[in-house]
Amino acid sequence: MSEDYRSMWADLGLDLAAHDALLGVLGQAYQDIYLAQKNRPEGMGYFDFVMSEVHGLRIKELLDEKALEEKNIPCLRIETDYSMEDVGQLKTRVEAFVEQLR
Amino acid sequence: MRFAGIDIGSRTIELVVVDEAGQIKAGFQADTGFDPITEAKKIVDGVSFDRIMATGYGRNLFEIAFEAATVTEIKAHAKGARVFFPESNAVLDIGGQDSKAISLFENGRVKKFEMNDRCAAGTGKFLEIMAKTLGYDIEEFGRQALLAAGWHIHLCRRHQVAGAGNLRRLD
Repeated sequence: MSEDYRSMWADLGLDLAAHDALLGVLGQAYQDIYLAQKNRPEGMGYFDFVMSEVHGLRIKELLDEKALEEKNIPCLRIETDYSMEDVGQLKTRVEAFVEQLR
Repeated sequence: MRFAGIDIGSRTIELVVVDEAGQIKAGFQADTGFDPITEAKKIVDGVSFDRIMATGYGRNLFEIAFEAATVTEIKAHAKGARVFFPESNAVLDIGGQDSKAISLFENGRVKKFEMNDRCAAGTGKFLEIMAKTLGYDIEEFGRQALLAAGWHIHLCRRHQVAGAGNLRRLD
């Protein structure tokens, strides 16, 4: 992370342990599947960004820019409660996003 | 060559076999039940094909059991829609447990997709219950909605269960 948001999120009541567990699952899938691809398309650069920053502030910036059509970057917006229950739905969204990029 | 596609959904499993020209040679359907991979194995048993691809929420179970390729329902819908409706530019999938809206580019690729899998009001199950409450068959329900007089009642912004309760009180 470029900045340490941890105290901010803890103050807002985020369960950081659950968040890290979720990132662990997605992060490993990300490494095995996405990082391993040769010739990764441009949109994946922002997937890197999202995976490392992973919070609403930055995603909102990307969406705002996209709305203004300043940048034409494929975007995936994810909402999660940082529990493990929605991993299946998240996988489907992420896989569909990757299919769009191919 | 025969190619098969299997869709392991939350309520039903569909299996279709096509030839090289894309003509449907066989089709099967079964309930998913509580053990999707066992039902998938049963439905595939005895069906001949050279390659199979899986989609739906159970696709990864199938991938492991059969060493098959997978694709998300979103891409599968896009491909299928263009085969049957070459002029289409959008797909609306009302599933048992979720809904998906997909828009397509001119060339048939997925442009944008949205999924509602968080709220019961966005499911086929909800529509079934509402139809029954109002005394319609589900097949008739959509047509009746399109014929409606053009006013709508605000049932409940947030909750399917509360909305259903409100509907009964309106009768």
